[in-house]
Amino acid sequence: MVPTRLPRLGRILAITAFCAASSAPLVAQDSAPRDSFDLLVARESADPTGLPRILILDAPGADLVTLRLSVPVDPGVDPTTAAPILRRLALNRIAGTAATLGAEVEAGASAAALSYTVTGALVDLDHLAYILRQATAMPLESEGFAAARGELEAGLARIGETGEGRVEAELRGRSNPAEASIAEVRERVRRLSFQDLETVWRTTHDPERMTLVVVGDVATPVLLAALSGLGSERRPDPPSAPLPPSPPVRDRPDILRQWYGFAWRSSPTFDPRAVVTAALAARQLRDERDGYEAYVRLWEGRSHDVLAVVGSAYSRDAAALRRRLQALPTTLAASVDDASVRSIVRRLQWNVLSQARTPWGRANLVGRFLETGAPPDAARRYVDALVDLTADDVRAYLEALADDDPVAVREGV
Amino acid sequence: MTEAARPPGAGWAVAVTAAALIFTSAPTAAQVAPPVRLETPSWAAHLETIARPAAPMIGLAVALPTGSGADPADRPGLGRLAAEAVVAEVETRLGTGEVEGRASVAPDRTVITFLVRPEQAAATLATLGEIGFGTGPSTATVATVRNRRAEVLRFELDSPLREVGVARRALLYGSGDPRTRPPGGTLAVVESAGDAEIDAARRTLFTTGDARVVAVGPIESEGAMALVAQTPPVAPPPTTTDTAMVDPGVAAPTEAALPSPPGGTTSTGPAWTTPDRRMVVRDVTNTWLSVAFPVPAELARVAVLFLADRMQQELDATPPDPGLFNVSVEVVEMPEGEVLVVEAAVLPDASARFERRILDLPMRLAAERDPAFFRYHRGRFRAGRLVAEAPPEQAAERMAAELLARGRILAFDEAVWSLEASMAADAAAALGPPRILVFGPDLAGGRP
Repeated sequence: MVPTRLPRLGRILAITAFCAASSAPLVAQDSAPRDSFDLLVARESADPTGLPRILILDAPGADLVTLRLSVPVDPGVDPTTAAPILRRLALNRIAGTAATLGAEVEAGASAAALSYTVTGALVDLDHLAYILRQATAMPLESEGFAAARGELEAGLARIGETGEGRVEAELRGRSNPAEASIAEVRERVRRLSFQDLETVWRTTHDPERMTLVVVGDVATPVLLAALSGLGSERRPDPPSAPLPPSPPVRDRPDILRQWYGFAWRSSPTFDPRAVVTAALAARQLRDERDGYEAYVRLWEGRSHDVLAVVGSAYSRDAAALRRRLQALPTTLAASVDDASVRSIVRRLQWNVLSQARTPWGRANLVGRFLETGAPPDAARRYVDALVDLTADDVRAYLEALADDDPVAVREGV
Repeated sequence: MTEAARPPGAGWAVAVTAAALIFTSAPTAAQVAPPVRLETPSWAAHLETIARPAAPMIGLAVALPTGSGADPADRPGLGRLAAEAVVAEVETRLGTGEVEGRASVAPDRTVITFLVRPEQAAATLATLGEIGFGTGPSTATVATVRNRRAEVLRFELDSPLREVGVARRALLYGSGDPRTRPPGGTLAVVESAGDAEIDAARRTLFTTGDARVVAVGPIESEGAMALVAQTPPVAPPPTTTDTAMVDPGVAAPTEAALPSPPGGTTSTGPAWTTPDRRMVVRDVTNTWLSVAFPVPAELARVAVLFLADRMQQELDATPPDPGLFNVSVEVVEMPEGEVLVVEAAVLPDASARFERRILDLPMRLAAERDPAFFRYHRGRFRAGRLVAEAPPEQAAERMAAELLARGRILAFDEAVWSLEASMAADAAAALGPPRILVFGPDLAGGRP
């Protein structure tokens, strides 16, 4: 929901608005050197035809280079089925090549995009780009499609076997209409054919829709030379026999405690108030530990965050737990002060800096913003908005949450 | 349809030309904040600064020439308690989200490492000086650290790995040497450690004038490659004698530490000249192997590091050996000399085969002299090290330890490009007679 009261509205709105802006200005030219967070500002290249959007985070004199390529997943594509399998097959394809170079590879998936990150020596740039070409190439059934699908199905079954997993999955599904329930997702995975996967690949892996973040001391012409051939097709496998059906999975787990979950569909993605609120809530729940255990989740969706609290208790404390979790926005709003917000913000700033201290961390941090189409200084502006937050901002946000009816889930005896 | 994976380098010239035409002048990215200037603290022998302008944080490492070997007799673990308490106090004083530290206490050295915001680097060094070399941590901090350590030791109680560790250190230092005791101590010692004895251990570790400090990050530096040390290395510290935790089944070393030459390495090495093989029989489900090769002092350090990397690659190959749980190869710098140590955990029935494989490896690598094959491995070795030391605190920790032990920091990039196939092969051939430890069940009736 939209907050009703927003002090420092301009700053906050700037954070959310830029996510949708595709033609936002490039790096602010008047930005004087300030602090370490300026390292989060990327330099955007011109838009070469047939290649990804390219953004460069300079690292003068560095011997390492990181290339992070993100592939947007269309709203029409279910990110919980095809995307993880595409990611797994890509990792199968590139891990061996990377090891021969002493390079590191990662593959990630958010609600908005798949991403492939490779880090290695600058002198191996051409080989690192080759790894990205391998990562984004058309998948083949023989590369382990059946195993990857089985792995995903087993993972979903595991989630459904625990109280925690069932509550979280239910909360996610009900707080975001685009997300299916865990049972539905499992069914979709079971039915997913390789042809379906290939169709998803064809609709998503267009180089012109991709975003490349580069961290390093790279001459751009050299970089461009290395990038041709992203998202290429390959000769398909010959037809194979149908896969055997998956074994049945027991649908009802043994749950000994009472589980409760509440979720608030809170705010547009990348709202710093949501992160601070989640951290404050986690701190408060950690300090209490009064006959139950509880934790906080902040799920980034394609357009909105979802803030969730999940907890479990034996029947004696179950009612108290439910009341405690449901009232969390209200109790937090009553207790939040500037000192606690400052302390949380300082810790979150540390997390940002700590992640950005490696080239791949810096690429992933900035890349998460840029893959949504945000301008090159989006990450920097996010940190600025974080620093400007006051207790009043967070309180207003919490009061808005408290006015809303959360999604509630109960699981257990 | 076309094949996706073109060979690296194909179409290079054409694409470069096209790219030059496509690119327009891009705006300049925002500049970073000015680099931090650090001064050598009064308590340190030397400060080396390594500039990484694009790093948002600074890695600080302080290497001290005293380790767990200097713990009082029968009281192992006091030094580590003291070091961890000092780190915890520095973190507390500077506040949440400003600095994170850790203490690594080895038998003959201690390295304190911090990751700090650039603006807190000087304050971190000043606070470390005040706490470590001055007043000491508060009683509350000591109590917190003591409880934390006791929790860890309680969890590890009865784990065979504790005894394996003692036996492995005895292989390097010799039975009876106090450095064989667990650097983290024992539960009994930690639980009973009094504030006064912890403080005495702190004063032993933190001796003014001995520390080598390395800072890596957005800092002013005389030049990134001006890494040759200006200070002589530190001689090995005197150690107490304590046999309480020593495995009696492992022999003493055949050679003692040699005096260190000024400005060079701490020892002329090698650490020993005769082979040894010891077996510690225990009714456990794994076998732990250790094979330690003494390294002649005249070998180039980069060649030794490359050799360790090649051995790791060979022993931890893909597909994995079904009898192998894990294997690591590292270069250990002892005051007595440098040692290349292979440690592996294997299935008991694979132990003899794996031991043979380790022992044969140096001679096999000594025959690797093909330049093209070597260049491929050199490139992979270099890239792997660059990735491993991308976090500034990792780089600082390695450099500080090197500065302490050798009096200089290896200029890695220069050294690695000057490394040749013959140097690496010669290094493999020059390794000395190994000491072997086999810790596990005796399936072969004592036969090797």
